[in-house]
Amino acid sequence: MIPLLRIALRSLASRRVTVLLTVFAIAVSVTLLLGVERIRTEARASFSNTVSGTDLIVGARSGSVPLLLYSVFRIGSATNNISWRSYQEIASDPDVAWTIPLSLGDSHRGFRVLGTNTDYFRHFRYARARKLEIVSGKPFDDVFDAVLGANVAEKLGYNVGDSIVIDHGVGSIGFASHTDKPFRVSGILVKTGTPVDQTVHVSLAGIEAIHIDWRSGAPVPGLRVDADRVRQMNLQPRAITAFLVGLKSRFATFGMQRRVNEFSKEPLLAILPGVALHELWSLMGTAENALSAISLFVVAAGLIGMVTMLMASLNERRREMAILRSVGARAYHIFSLLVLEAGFLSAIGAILGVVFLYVGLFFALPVIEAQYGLFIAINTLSGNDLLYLGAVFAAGLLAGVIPAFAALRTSLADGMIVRT
Amino acid sequence: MGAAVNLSDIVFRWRKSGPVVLNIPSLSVATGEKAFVSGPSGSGKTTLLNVLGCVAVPEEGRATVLGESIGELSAARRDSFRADRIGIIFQQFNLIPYLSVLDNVLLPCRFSGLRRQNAGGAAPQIAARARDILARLELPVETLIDRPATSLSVGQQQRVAAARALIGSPDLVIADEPTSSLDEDARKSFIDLLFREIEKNSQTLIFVSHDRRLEGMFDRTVALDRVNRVSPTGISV
Repeated sequence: MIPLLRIALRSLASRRVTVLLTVFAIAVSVTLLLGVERIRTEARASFSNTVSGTDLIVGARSGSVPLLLYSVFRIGSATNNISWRSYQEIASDPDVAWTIPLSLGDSHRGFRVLGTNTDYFRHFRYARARKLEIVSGKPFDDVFDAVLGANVAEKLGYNVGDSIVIDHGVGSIGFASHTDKPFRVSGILVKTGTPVDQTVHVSLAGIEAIHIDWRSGAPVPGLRVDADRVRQMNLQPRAITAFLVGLKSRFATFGMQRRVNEFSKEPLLAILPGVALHELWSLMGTAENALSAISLFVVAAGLIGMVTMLMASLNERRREMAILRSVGARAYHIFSLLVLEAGFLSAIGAILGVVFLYVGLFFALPVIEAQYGLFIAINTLSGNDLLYLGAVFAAGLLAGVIPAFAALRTSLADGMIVRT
Repeated sequence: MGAAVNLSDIVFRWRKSGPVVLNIPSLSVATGEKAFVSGPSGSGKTTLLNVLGCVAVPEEGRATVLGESIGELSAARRDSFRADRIGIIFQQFNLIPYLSVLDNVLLPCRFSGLRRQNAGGAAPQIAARARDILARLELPVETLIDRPATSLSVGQQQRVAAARALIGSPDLVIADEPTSSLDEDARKSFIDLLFREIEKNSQTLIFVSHDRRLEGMFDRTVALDRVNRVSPTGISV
């Protein structure tokens, strides 16, 4: 006995070129739909994982989103610095448990260089509560020691003990390099899936040392301080870019934030990372919604393509329908046949779309990670994804009603014998 | 035994505003009869077949097929009635191109429980029955049963169509110019084989053709151009 579904499948198989193209169009649209959703949720998760356990981020007064972006995500640059004295004053507040100073502005072959101190390794947390760990070597203790993020070491092939030169500025091609004061790789960090992986960490003293004979972004002519002599000098920084604050008690957060924002000696800004992230999402919300809308329209286009293909085939299938009617197919069989075909096409399209998604993720992940520092996990399909897939299938079935009605009408008019 | 088909005073138009295509005061075919319906093209043969096949319902008059007054049946009932009781062979392109020979023959059993029962009920039995009929129609069963229908010669395709019309022993077999694409010898042997099967199962055959050379083989001839009071131009006479 041959079920109607098998007739539908055989019929589709006999038109395999147009059928494959149609399925392909649906699959691509489904991949886009799921991909946009995936990147959206994963980007959020990844961003949220980047900074944990930090109560406040303090920087020069600007906007909370820019401060968040440059201090934590190494995106963009600070417009102004914080004086060392202000930093010291806030860090000694009785409510403050720890601080991590951040000094940005230099790079190494496209990777940002972060000047900080060993508190960074002690207090910085990512992905809820994970500590930074060193996979080989140790944190810096010399002025010219550097600790590399996992990707930096991997991409540039560095090992502990290698010597690196820091470029001035943050372009991928530095304007000038601090060639006279090379750093030595003292340690390499475990991969975190956060911007830490893309960062070269050095001590604040190191940052100070390479700039000691520089003024206004260029070496001062005639003034050359070599690496050995610089160690004898006072390497106390005059300014830093921003700092992270951990408080003794969460309840002190808003009071502390207000004290920083009202700090009289210098215009400063303190932000709560969670609140700033939220602000970032609402900024990106419009773009995200636009992307989602576009991907929904692409799915609609894919399904319209399927309807077009089925409608176009109906004329040459009039005789097929007449034969089916003559051997006893009822009107609803003809109707169901077309709906089954549409349902099958959209189901296969959806499944193939999922395959494309995972294949795509597999190849795109290393690129996204390297380019944007976004770590996207290859997870199984979420409930939301399944809902989308179900919706695509249902929409496909529903769209199949259009050619099904057309086939029904022609078939009823033709009867068993196609009168041409 | 009564009439397999009885039409009285039927009038048929494809569309409400269209021309009258059939206007038949009386036409009947007895049960077990092998009737030859002749008529030039335009005499309403195709339309008559749609009426006999219970696809088209006359707007006036009474059309009785195998004891059922088809005007009184719902569309769904007519469909299942056709599936159960009537086998149909067309002029050409009878087979679904993307199905195998076997699947084509078994199609009526797919849509009719009665014909499935008549053919043996379970899948292995009806497949065996299909092979049996194909063999009796002198087709090389083993070599072509799984082949796509379109890979057969026209003569073979017509025999497969006949096997499909015969499987599950429907009471009425309607053939619409089934031999017009066959050569002289093939035509003769096709009709002989068809008769053999029809007679064996005491089925009624209505064979429509414009080729009057064949009419001598049949029990009776109905000249449609005389029975149907509509001229080829669609004007009633």
